[in-house]
Amino acid sequence: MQSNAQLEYDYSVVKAFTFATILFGIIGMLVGVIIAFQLAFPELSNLAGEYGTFGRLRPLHTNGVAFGFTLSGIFATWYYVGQRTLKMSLKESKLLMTVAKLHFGLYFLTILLAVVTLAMGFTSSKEYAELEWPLDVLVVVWWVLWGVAMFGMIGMRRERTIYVSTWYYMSSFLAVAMLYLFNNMEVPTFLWSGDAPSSLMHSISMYSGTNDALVQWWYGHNAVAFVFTTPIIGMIYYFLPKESGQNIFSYKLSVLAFWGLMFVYLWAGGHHLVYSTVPDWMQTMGSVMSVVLILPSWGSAINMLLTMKGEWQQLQTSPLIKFMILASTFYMLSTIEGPIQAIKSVNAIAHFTDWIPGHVHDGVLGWVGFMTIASLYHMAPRMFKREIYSKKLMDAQFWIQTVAIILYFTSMWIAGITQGMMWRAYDEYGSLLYSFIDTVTVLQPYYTIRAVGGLLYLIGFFMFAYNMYKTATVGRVLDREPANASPMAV
Amino acid sequence: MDQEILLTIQGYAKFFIILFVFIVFYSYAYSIYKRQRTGERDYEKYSKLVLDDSLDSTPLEERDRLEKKKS
Repeated sequence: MQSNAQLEYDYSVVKAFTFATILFGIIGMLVGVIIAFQLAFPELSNLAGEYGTFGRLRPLHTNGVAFGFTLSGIFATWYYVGQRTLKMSLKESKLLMTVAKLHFGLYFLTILLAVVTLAMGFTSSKEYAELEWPLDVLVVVWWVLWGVAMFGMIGMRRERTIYVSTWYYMSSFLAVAMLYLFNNMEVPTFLWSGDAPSSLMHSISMYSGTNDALVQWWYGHNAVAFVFTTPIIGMIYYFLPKESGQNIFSYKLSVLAFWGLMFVYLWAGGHHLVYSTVPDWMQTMGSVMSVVLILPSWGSAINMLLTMKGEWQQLQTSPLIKFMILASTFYMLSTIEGPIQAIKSVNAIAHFTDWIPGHVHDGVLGWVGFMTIASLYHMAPRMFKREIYSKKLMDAQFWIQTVAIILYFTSMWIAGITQGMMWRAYDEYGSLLYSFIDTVTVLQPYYTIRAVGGLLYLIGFFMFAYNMYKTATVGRVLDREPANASPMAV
Repeated sequence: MDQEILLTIQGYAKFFIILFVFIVFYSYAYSIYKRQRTGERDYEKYSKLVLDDSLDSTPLEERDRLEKKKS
């Protein structure tokens, strides 16, 4: 290992992933807003033929925001947090630098291909695992490259103890590797189709029926765990203490919450299959584990809020701290809401209703979105060596997006519970009181509110993109790296 | 072995596995709080890994020196 006297951290890969986060964020959220308006005004589905239908666009939205926006954010922050807490620079190893750049290149290509193939209608029809087999192979390649870069960096570290954030990133790497491989076991049909016409892209799952459902939701729920939760916790454990200049309230609690989360999360996926044809004990286990999950989730969230003890005035002065504290608060909200929905009697009303996307979005818009945005804002002055372009713009973005999230989840709560109650209502003879279309008519106003909420969030995201662009190009040049609070022009 | 016996074994196995992990987890929790209290190891100092993270600052616990000591 060479002397670190002249060395500095390398942010080239961080910058590339930051760009990808913003680009895929815009694509994924824009498509989300379009489909939200389609649900409120169905005639919008006919604007672009087959390419504009809800069925084509919905996987584009989910894949775009989960594997485009969120994953880019995770990778950007990993290459930043990883180098800094391990006290090593990518510049010290040509091999790791090459691996990291290859990781970015292949990842970017895959997500672009995902956008094209999903728009063309190639899908394996498994929710959140729609990508067809050639793309799955690509995903495995760059996931392994990420692992090589990660463990290579850990191997080269100067610091003996691996900071808790890295543990969260490692768990994400290991768990997603296992989940993705098993859920995407599939056979390309052209291999066995003989003379029958078959697309090169098409494949069928190696599982069928109930087994398929079990593996799918073991994957589906843990994709939430290890893409939307653990790496984001890793981010907040670095960026909140760093930005506020505070020690973590309890490092011990952070370690305990980590192991608690690791043990419990993997068992909770069964709650997606309550009242379905999977074994009853598995449904009960899914429910119970989901409720137990409150403990480690709140352990981290409370730890973050208490980190601000004695420093709450920063919430008034720094919009960046506002983003992070609200992210933590939304994490608390969605991790109490999820377990409530997993209780069997509540699930009887909530399942298949709009309350579910409501729950998902207060988590992803409030927790994942805000934390990713805040992390990128924090990194900007360090990687571009420039002051953040506008504090006012950031503050305005915060309030617009906060109102957006509130509109989104409150409308979906009301819509979902109304829907669930109407589906179950029956008269004294046991006949259903409402037909499906009756619920649609009642829900239409809430769908409009949701679409407006989504649009506001997207507007806020454009403000973020503009602020980042201006920071990188015309922000005041800094003569030295800020220690804690990120400098921002008024 | 019929289905019912299999399910019973599954149920008991699951209970004891959870009990085992429960004991391991709380023992670990107890051990880290005890080590902190007796001064054997200060966990809270690791917050500094974030606050003092520039490449030229001295590592909190030097890795190389530790390895040299071992050898």
